[in-house]
Amino acid sequence: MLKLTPEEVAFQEEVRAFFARDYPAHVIAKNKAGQRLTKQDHIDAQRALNARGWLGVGWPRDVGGTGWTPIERYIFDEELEFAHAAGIIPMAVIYIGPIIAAFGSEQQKTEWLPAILESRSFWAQGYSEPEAGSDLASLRFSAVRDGDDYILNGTKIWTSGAHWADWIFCLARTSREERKQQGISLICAPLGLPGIRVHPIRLIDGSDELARIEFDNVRVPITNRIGDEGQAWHYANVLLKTERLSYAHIGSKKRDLAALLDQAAKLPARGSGTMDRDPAFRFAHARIEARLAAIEASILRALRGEISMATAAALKIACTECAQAITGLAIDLAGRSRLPMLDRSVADWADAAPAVAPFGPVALQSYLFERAQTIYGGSTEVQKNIIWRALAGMAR
Amino acid sequence: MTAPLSDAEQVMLRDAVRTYLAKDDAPRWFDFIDRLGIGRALLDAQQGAIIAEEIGRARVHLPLAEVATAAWLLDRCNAPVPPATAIATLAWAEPGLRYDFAGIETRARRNGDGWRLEGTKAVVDWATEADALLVAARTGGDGLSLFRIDSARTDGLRLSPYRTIDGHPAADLIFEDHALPDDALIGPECGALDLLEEARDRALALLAAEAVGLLDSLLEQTIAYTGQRRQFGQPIAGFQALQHRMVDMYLECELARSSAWLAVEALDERPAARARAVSSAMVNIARACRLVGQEAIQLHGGMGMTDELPIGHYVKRAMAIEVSWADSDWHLARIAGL
Ligand SMILES: Cc1cc2nc3c(=O)[nH]c(=O)nc-3n(C[C@H](O)[C@H](O)[C@H](O)COP(=O)(O)OP(=O)(O)OC[C@H]3O[C@@H](n4cnc5c(N)ncnc54)[C@H](O)[C@@H]3O)c2cc1C
Repeated sequence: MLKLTPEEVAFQEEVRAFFARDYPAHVIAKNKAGQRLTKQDHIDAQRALNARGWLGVGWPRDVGGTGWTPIERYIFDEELEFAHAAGIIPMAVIYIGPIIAAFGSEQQKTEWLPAILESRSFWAQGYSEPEAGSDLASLRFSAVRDGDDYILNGTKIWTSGAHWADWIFCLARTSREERKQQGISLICAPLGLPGIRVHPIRLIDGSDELARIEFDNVRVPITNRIGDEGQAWHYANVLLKTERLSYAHIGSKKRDLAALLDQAAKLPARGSGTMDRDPAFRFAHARIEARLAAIEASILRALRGEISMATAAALKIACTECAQAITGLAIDLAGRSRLPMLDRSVADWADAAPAVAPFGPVALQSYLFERAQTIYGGSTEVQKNIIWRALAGMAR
Repeated sequence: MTAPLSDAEQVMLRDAVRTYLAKDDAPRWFDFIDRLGIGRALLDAQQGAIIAEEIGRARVHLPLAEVATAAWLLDRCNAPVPPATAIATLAWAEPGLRYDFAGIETRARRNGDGWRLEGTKAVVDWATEADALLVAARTGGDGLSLFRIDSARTDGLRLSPYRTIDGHPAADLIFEDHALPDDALIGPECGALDLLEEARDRALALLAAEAVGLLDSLLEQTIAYTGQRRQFGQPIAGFQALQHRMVDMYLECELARSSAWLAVEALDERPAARARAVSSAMVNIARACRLVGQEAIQLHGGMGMTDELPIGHYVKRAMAIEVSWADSDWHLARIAGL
């Protein structure tokens, strides 16, 4: 059943009203204008959500979470995106929060979880390494016991949001075992510790919100380990199960598609008239809309039932490729307006190129940044390998 | 027109440019033209294409298509052509039009002995570095004319400079009742439309050739990277899924090369045949730019997203070429006669 129940519809209206009334308007305004949000903007946004008890999405109720059903969670995400609200930075709230809640010590739950909800701490995810990307289990970052401490050594790379983070959770090798997935532990470190150096990485879209982080004999207490030693791979997979659909972003895709029609109405077309009446553009737009409708139905179908590994992998591919197709359509619509490369951190960047449709440079930067969607979180190729494993039985 | 180069001469020209660019990855236009002595080669499409391809392969910032196109226009208008070492660029695009010159709204009106120019030009490549600007403007009734302005920094011209995605200097230009001398008009008054159309096709042929160099290099870099990057205990080039994607890139590169030849060789055809050939070429070039660029990033994984590797810069130049003078839909409409 793809339709929402009356209770779900009521919840949807409640969420919609919240974003319209009780959510910081300046965050929405900036997001609408395509400007980059500051850390303070995110704090303002998180505080508003937390005041309503809606920040701990995917967390159980007893640790301050929402305890929502998957559908409620989906409705919330969609409304947040429709409203142009700030996307919840996933590292603390979506990725590590639920793991702490499920496997953390009492002390970790009482210290770390409230700090996340009250925006006192931001987190980064230290999984990937220069030599361990798709083959994450081959990671070499090491944690060696020394009395009541671990000594951490190694390099993490592609760490998102490290420039804002106070803490990092790392996959670290605590022992060598037969299977490379064994002997990996989940260990947390404050990013300000001696021996940690953060090097920003500049990306093709001009942003520098990713980093390479070097650990040189960094000492943390063993109480910073989440769960048992050597069990991190298992924890990560448990989390995966609950977080498989966090890439869906159906709401933002619908919102972005609708916004393109608004933009099109302002752009001159070939001959006369505006681009919203240009058949080639409208067909391309409609094609993506049709695709998105099927993807949304797939997500709802999945949310009502059990989600297999293969289904989740298929949906990740569909959702991320669809998001990329929308950014592709946006730069096509922008035409020559996509040519200027402007600095989005400047408040009045649109003035820098007065003869250019302001959405062009934003569209271009989104196009470039969203190339990453099919690379992170398990690349498209890796997802296809997963799907094939589920199909391979039929070839025998 | 100069006699076509022999095969040996083509190879010599290509090698000379390639060698020069291998030694200097931030060449200045003046030095590039002067030291290589290729000023006259710019006036020949075939030679220009050879140079353009090497510029693409080396991914350097040089205003080849701009200068060659401006020189061709000036020559056609029997106006004095500045030395090839000078930078000249054509300002045609405007906020109120997509790609059709017919939509140009910048106006020049006679004023005593001279002209007054009023209007806005968008994303004029190399405007900030140009010694001469050619401006397309509407005159009298409905015709288009060309005006030459020496040095972009003329008084009263509002210029907003920035870099484009490919790192080239560019600017938006606003003319507010801008005074020009009588002889700023070049070519026939109200007779510039056909000239502009041909100039566009000539510029596109050069950009097609540049794209060939860019795309070849993207494929080469991707093959080299996947051969050396190891995951799951083996070079990732060993995964057939990636091999096939690189083969798809190769197919696009080959069609792009043929397309560039098609465009260059059609330039001296009659307008309709020329337009059809150049547009066919550019539809394929645009597709290749998009596909090869996307695959190159994807196959590099996280490394493909960094500004530190060259590939992102190649991809962004290819993305600029896709829409510099027209996009695929415009070309498709032209082929279909819509
Ligand atoms: C914007 C961005 C943000 C990120 N944020 C974080 C973060 O916060 N924390 C973190 O830990 N990591 C983060 N990552 C890293 C991300 O998870 C990795 O980039 C990803 O795992 C891929 O690894 P890699 O970059 O080493 O590519 P590689 O694994 O080297 O892959 C290169 C290419 O090979 C292909 N490939 C690999 N194996 C196979 C195979 N078996 N079969 C077929 N093809 C294969 C891949 O699909 C890809 O096309 C981020 C990455 C990006 C781009």
